[in-house]
Amino acid sequence: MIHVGILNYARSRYLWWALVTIAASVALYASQRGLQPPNGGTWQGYVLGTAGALLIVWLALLGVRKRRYRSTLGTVQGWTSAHVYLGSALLVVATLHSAAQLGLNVHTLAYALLCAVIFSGFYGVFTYVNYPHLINANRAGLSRAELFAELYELDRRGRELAAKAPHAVSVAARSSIERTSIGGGLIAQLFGKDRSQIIRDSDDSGGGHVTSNRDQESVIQFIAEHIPRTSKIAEAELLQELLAVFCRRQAVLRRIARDIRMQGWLRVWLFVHIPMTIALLVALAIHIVTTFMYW
Amino acid sequence: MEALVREMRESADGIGEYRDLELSVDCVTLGSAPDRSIQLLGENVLPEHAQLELRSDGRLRLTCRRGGTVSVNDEAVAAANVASGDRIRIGGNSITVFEPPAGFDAGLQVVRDADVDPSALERAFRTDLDQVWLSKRAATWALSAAVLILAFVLPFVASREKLRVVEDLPFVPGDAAWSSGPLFAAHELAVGNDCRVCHQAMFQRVQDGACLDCHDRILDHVDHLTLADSTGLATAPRCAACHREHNEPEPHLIIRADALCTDCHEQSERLFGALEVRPVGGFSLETHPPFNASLDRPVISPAGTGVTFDWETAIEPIGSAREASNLTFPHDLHLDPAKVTDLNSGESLGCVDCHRLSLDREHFLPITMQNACIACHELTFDPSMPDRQLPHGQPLEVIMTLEGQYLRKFSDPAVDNKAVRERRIPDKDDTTRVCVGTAFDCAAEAAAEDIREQFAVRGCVSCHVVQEHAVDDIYSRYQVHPVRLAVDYFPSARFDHASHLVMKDATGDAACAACHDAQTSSESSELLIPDIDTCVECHADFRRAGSVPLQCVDCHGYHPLQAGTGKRRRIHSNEM
Repeated sequence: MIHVGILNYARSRYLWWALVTIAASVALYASQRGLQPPNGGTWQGYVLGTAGALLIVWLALLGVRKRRYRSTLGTVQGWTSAHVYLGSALLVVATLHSAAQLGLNVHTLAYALLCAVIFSGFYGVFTYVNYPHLINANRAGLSRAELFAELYELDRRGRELAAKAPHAVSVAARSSIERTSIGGGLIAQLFGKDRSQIIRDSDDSGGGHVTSNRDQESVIQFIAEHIPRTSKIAEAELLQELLAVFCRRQAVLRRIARDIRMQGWLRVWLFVHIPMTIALLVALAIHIVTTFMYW
Repeated sequence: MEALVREMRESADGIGEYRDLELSVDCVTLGSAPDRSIQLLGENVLPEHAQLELRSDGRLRLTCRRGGTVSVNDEAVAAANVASGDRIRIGGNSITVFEPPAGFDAGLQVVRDADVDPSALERAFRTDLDQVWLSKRAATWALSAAVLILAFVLPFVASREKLRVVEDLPFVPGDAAWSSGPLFAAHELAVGNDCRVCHQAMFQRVQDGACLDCHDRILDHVDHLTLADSTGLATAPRCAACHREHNEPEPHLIIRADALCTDCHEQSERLFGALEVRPVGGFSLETHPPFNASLDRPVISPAGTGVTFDWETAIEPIGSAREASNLTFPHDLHLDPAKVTDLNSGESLGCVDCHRLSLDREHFLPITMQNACIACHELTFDPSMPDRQLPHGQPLEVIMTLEGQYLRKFSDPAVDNKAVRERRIPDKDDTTRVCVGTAFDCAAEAAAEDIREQFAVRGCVSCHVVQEHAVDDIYSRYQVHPVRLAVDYFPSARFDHASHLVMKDATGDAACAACHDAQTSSESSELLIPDIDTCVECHADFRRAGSVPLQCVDCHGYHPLQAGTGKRRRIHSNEM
């Protein structure tokens, strides 16, 4: 499993690489004595800066390596493991390079972008470690396609049963299927906000009103309330079956909603990590060029 | 509109049967979303794919949503009128329009795509972040472009002389955005955000000329010619090699680290060659050489019937150096309360009675007869005229004053002539001598004796070096050697006397005496300046218990205040 493998890959070989990098950087930083305070302009600062810049470029190349399926230059898993550990070490290297001399300038902009990239990466590692087994547990061994296939069948069966049900139940059941909210926009996917609705008739004469059907609670309650009112056994059995379909449907929808939510959190950090990485490369180039333009 | 939707489905027993659905809707909506009138699944079916509406002329109008494809009788269309017999295809699904029964506006027979898996229902929803407005590619372009424009393009444009007006526009960052940190406050006051004042050429380190444009009076530590001729150091370091800007707010522009000096001076024998500079590695008996004092030495040359004085500076080790001030002054006598007290207060003399600190807290105001000595050492010469004093510092005037005094005494008829002519022989109380010549001769004789007394026996000679020349001319016979008290024994160093007036276990005169052993000094030739061993009793170049840390720059400056400081120089007596 990749989410475990990236941390334990090759007995955490790159963890040791990262620790050595950090130790060397701290030693280099501490050796800054003499005429200047620690800063990016001492020879130690230039060494730290060069190492940091090379690390940034190499870390960004993971995106290229992942797409080179025929490449034999190490495994993607190994690259990712090194990416995580050396990326973490980069935070120390860059901070020591800056010597905490921050301000409103392009150099601090590069540092801020770097921090944004690294901390979003930390979150990414957190999700890669924790979410996969939560996602598997939620799906109970099923794929999302299988969940949707089951939902489709439940919808079809629900419509069929609804067609035979009393008018009010039929309207409620069909409308709840038609107005079921799954996923949606960014906020809806990440926070699982359920905007499902239902049209409820007050009686069989028609004229309904739209209300929330969050978590399918309203339709289930509506059908359940109608069962005791029926006078015919066949109708009661129909409503019982319809209730069972909607309860099962509720369970499937919950799994789908949780799956969408967790998959969203599993991936959303990449929408920060990747654009920030490219912007960081631009800012890094500006940082280097302007440093020597106004040497 | 009223529509009849007919669909062939297999019943539970496997026999196909038509199922009719009656729709009473504004328009028949087609797509994969559950709320569509006819829900169709498939890879190419959008959630809201198309719709059929009844036109006012009774015909059906099919409209496909942008992004979807629909065909009528196998011909792709965006919108089309459909009639009975037409077959609409959406993905793998087909809808055939048939003649509607009475009471219906449209008849639609649906045949679903048999190859579509029910899981295709997912396509009816947005279940992936790729389906929302978020876009990694767009965000990447936008963010990168913003960084490039704000952090480089606009500052670059603003830095161009001809386009500098751009910098004045609101929210437009100038090239100050490239600054790696705030400027030293005084520099910021002088140049503001104009980077080009110092960074005069791109991709070139800040040159000394940029500094010297303003700091035009600063002097090199060692001038370039000396450096090139006498040492292995070809060129002096750039100003910015030491004075690094943009490291504020810490005051790093003025370097205080000992490495500023010791990096070179620790290897002075190798680096400085012929300059013969003693190596210095810190401030301790082991790393810092003993002090050398800068002393003025008289150079005496014959001139006419007397001599003339030039002065040269000699650098000598404190341990063996002797003063040559031409002043006779026993410190021990003046500081002994049993022998000398203040005439007014009756108290013993203190250091500050003569040595008054100047405003620079390091040097002392010049000691003169008038400000230090005259209060006790009056220059009266005639008990009968106790208010009259000899003029100090003017030997010729002294001689003429005495001559005039005796002439008046011997020629004034109102004066008791006998008493004047009977003069006591000096140092012989019981013997008197009577002058019998003319008044002028007697006056000249008496004056000559008194002049000799003043210059050679008990007057000037008490404090001064008086040379008697073997000439008849009384006016050229006595020459008082000029006094030259040292102003600065260490012109290459700084010392704050004021802060040392209070020390760990002494204040006032006791603090002075802790370093300057004046109370036992009987000779003015004794140099009362302490050597390094006195300093290291309290100071060290590192922080340790019981000592005050001292860095090179606490005593020494890198840039000399005047050219040639510390070198031998000749000063003509006219400069005195």
